[in-house]
Amino acid sequence: MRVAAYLPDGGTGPGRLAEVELDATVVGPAELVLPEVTVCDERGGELLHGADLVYDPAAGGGPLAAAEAERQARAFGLTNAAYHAQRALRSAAALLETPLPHLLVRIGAHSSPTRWGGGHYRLPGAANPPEPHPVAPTGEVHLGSGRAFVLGSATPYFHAPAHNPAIVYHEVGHHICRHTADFRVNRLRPPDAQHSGKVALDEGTADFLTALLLGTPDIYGWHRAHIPEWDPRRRKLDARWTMAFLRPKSSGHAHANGTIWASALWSARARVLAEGGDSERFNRMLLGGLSGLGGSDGPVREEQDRRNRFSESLRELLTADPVLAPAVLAAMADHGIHSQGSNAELRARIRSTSTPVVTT
Amino acid sequence: MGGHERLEDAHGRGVRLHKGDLVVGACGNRYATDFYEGYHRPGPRAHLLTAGGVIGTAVSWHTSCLAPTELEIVGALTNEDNLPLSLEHFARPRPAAASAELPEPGAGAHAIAVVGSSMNSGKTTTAAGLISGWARAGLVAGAAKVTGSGSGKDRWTYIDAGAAHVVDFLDFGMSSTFGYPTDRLRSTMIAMRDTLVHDGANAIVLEIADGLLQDETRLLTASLSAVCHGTVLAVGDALAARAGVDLLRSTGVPVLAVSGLVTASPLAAREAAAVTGLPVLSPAQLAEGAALDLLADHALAQ
Repeated sequence: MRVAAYLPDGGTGPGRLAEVELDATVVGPAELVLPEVTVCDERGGELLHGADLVYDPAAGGGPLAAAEAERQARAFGLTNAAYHAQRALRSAAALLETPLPHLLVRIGAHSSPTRWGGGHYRLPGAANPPEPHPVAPTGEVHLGSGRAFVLGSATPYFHAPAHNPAIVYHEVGHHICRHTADFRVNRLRPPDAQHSGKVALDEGTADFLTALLLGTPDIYGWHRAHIPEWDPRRRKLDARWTMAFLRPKSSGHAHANGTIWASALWSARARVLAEGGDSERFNRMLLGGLSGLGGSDGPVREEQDRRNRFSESLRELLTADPVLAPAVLAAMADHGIHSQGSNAELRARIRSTSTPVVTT
Repeated sequence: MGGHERLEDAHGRGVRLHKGDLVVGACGNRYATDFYEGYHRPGPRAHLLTAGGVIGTAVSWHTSCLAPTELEIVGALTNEDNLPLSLEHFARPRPAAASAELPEPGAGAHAIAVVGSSMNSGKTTTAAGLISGWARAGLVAGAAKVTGSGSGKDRWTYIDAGAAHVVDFLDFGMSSTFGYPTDRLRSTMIAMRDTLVHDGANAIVLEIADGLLQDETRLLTASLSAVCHGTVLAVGDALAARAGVDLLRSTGVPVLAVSGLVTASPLAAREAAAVTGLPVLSPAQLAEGAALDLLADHALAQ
């Protein structure tokens, strides 16, 4: 069927609005099923009808929009999220040469009375706040219904997360991580007591995959355009982010710490390309490294600590493709990431050898 | 020295007063059930009625308050013609388009009034929650203190919450609104709303002081349905919520939500929700996004 979606164009907006073919089935008034992913809008309403599902983004809809504009915007959010989730999952499956477990994407399940403008990836188990629905054992992506207009936009656009390919890719990236590197070692935990917390490498890998799929390191350049590019909250992948900026043992900074890993991966990919390598081979190296990291068994605590180390992840990358190893090692070293040492040791090492920088 | 030991300077800082200090204030009345009841009475002595510098004679006060700080009147500030200065001389021009016409919801600016069951029921905190929620949502928030007695406290609260534009009755020539004719207050309320729209605000809160039973508040509330899209009622308990909602509904103005001090108690909040049938939203919930939902068509259509 034909649907509307924003296609990545490397720019600072949501992408180029286009019609695309989607291998999907409508199974309800607000639910699409694809081979890799199911997407549903939990807010109800008759959103989907007709043979083709080409809807108007309607500037994101939102609480100030007229009823029909909001309906169009929500229907567009469904098809846009489905298109990008499928694209990300198919890319990963091609690189892994095996499909990932089916993913469920819920839109608007967490929206009252406060509003939510982001997304998260959840597995069955304790969560704060508690999830309103039982979570699928293979994992779910939850997207908020939006909480704000895009700041600095020339024309008002309500930032509905389902309209933003970057947010969809990032959250699907966590699904890819869960079923490869499995940073929280959930494979060895009881099915109903999975750990949904994210470590820096999880966040960073998801950000890198987002950059890859968007074709730009400024992954959140649309809805965070008001934040300067040098500000860590922008989360633009950049050579400046080294282990000197790491804040270890601080789970609240997983995103900022993850930007270091994402930036290092982006630099490594650029170096591979500059030396005549191809992008797909680097991507296969990454997915292979992630699978390698998650492939070993052992006590959950020990495995979790091991998988939290930047150096371990780097070693798995090098093992996945020794031919690319020199270029990747050199690029990672520029970010203070080496194949030996704890995260704190890597930070101490770069801080002792570089010009003092202001870090927080 | 009495109840007020500090007086705001021109920048809003509370300057500690000392016996013998020479200060400048503005004559006016005060109606504050939790503080002073006072009136402008020309004479050689007066009281400091607010920390913002409203000067009058206190005739009653709450038992928890100290007696007012006493002032000796030296004289009136005058202009070059030796005529006493008045805030009226410095009032903002009213927008040319000032009218009672209400902009269509969704078509431009939205305006919500915050009213309360009494003084200290949480009106300004509720207004700040709305402002914060709108500002965080990318809207241009404007705030107006429609009535009250002159002091900078609420203005700073609005600005701290993220208001891009703020006006109050001082901007329109009144040191205190207690005792002004209702027509003047009503037209000023509309001028405030239109001024904020003119300045660029697209989400506006109009805070009306004191409780719904105060004379001017009661009379202004009767015209709110033509001035704003709805109201949020700040109360301290469920009984006040029920009575306040009934009073507001009798005027025809939509009541969008209950907020204020009652939200500090989950149990009391549930009581209030049960007896009013309305969402009971804490200022924090308003700031986290509920303020935006109050502007939605479906909410305004209640």
